[in-house]
Amino acid sequence: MEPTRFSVLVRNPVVALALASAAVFWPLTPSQAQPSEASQALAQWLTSDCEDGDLKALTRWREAAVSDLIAALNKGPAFEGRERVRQLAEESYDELVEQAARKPEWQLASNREEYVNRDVDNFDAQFRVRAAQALIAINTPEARKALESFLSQIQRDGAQAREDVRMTILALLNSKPQ
Amino acid sequence: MSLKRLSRALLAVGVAGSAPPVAADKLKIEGITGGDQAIVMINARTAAGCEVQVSRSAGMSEVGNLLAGCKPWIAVLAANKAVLFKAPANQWTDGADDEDSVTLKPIIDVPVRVWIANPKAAKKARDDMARANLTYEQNKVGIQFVPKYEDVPADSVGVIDDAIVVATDGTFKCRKLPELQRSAFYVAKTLNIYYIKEAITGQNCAITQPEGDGNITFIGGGANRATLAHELGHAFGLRPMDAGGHTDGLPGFGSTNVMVGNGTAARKRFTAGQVFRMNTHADQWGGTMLIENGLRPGPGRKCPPDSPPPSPSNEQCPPLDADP
Repeated sequence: MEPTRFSVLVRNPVVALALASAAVFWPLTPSQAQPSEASQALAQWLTSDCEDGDLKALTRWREAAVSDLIAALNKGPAFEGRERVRQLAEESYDELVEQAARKPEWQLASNREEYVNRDVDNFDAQFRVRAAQALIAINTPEARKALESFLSQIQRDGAQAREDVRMTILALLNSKPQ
Repeated sequence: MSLKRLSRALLAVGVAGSAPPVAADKLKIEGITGGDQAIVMINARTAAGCEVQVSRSAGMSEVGNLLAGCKPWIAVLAANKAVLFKAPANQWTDGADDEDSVTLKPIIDVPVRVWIANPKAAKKARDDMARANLTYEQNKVGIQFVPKYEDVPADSVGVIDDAIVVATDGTFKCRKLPELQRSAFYVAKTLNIYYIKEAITGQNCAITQPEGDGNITFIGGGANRATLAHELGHAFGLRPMDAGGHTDGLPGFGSTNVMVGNGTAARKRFTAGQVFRMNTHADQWGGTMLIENGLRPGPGRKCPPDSPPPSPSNEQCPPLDADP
C-alpha cells in the first residue's frame, strides 16, 4: 500500500482516532472491516507500551500521517477510550483490594479515586507523548510547528497537559534540530 | 436376557461400558498446594515422536505411554511454588508402568530495588508492584517481588536521567549504563526499577548495545498499571523486537497477554510457554535475570520467544503459546 492511500483511508482525524481507539479497546470481529495497515500502525504506536515499539512502521507514512498525529497530540485519546481505561482501572482496583486482604504486603498506596484517575491521566499522557515522538521522528516543518504551538498552548492553558508531558515534548524538540 | 448372558455381554464391552483400563506411565508431583491444578509440561517421545505435552495435575497424573528416546524434561508450574524444571528427567522406557517423581520448592523471593526519581510516582510504584505481584502469582510464575523503595534526592537524579534519553529516531533509549551501575542508585544482581519524570511508558535495558543490563528498568509517567509486569517480562528473557517477545497479533495470545506491546492496562496473562522461558532463558544479554541474579540454578537454555516448535531437532523448548 502506498503512503498516498493513508490520507484517503483516515483523512478525518476524528475517524482515525476513533479507529485507533477501536483497534485497541474493541477488537474488530472478522466480519467487520479491518483497519488499514496505516491506521493499525498509528493505533499500535499511540498505545505502545515499550520504547521498542515499532515507530518505523508509522513514520514511513511521513507527511501523510502528520495531520492525524497532530490531532492525537492536541486532542488526546477519544472519549470512549478514556472511559474504557477508567472502567478497567476500577475493576483492577477492586481486585487488588481483595487480594490485599489476603496478602497485606500487597496493600495499595492509593485510594480508589487516585488509582483510577492516574490510569486515565497516564493514558492521556502516553497518547500525546507517543504522537509527539512520531512527529519529531518525521520532523517536517509542519510537525515541528505543531509541537511548538502545543507547548505554547500549554503555557497559556496549563490544564491541557501535565508538566511531565510538556517537559518530555520539550526534550524531544531539543533532541533533534531541524 | 438371563443374568449370565448379561454378564458376558458387559464383559465383552468392558464393565458398565467403560474401556478396559490402559496401562500408563505416571508422574507424581509432591508439594502442590491443596486445590491447585498445577501445569505440567513433559517433553518425551510418544508414538508421534518427540513432543511437549501440556496438562494439569493435582499431584499424581497418568501421562500415557511415554517411550524411550528423546531428551526428556519436565516443568511444573504451581501456585505459590517455584517453577520446577527437571532436565534431564528420568528416561522413560517403552513399558507402560514407569513412574517419575518430582518435589516442588517454595516460591522464590525476588529482591527489587525501586528508585523513586519522580516523587509524584511514589504511590504508583507501590501500586504497580502490587499489580505485578498479583499478575505473576495468577500465572504461576513461581516468584514474588520483595521491593525496597528508595527516594532519589533531587540533586542526584541526573545520573538516572542520563541513562534514558531521546535517540535520533524519536524513541527513548537506554545509554550510559556503566555510569548508572557505578552510582549509589544501583544494586548489582538485583532488579533495579527507576520511576522517572519523563512521560514515557517503560523500557527495560537488557538488549541495549553494547552494555545491556536486564536488571535496569525505567518506568515513566505514561506507564499504565501493566507496564511494570510487561517490562519485567523482558528482564526475564522475553526480549522485545526481533527476539519475538512482543506477542502483538500472534495466534494463541489474546489482547490480555502481558507481553502484547501495544497493550492496554488490562493485560494480565502469561502462557505456560512464556513462564517456562522466564524461568529458564539463556541468551547473549544474560538470559533471565532469575538465573543471572542467582535466584534460580543455571545454566539456562536457549529458548528465544520465537524459537521454532519442538521437533526431534529442537526438543528443548516448548512453544511460546503452550498452555493446558
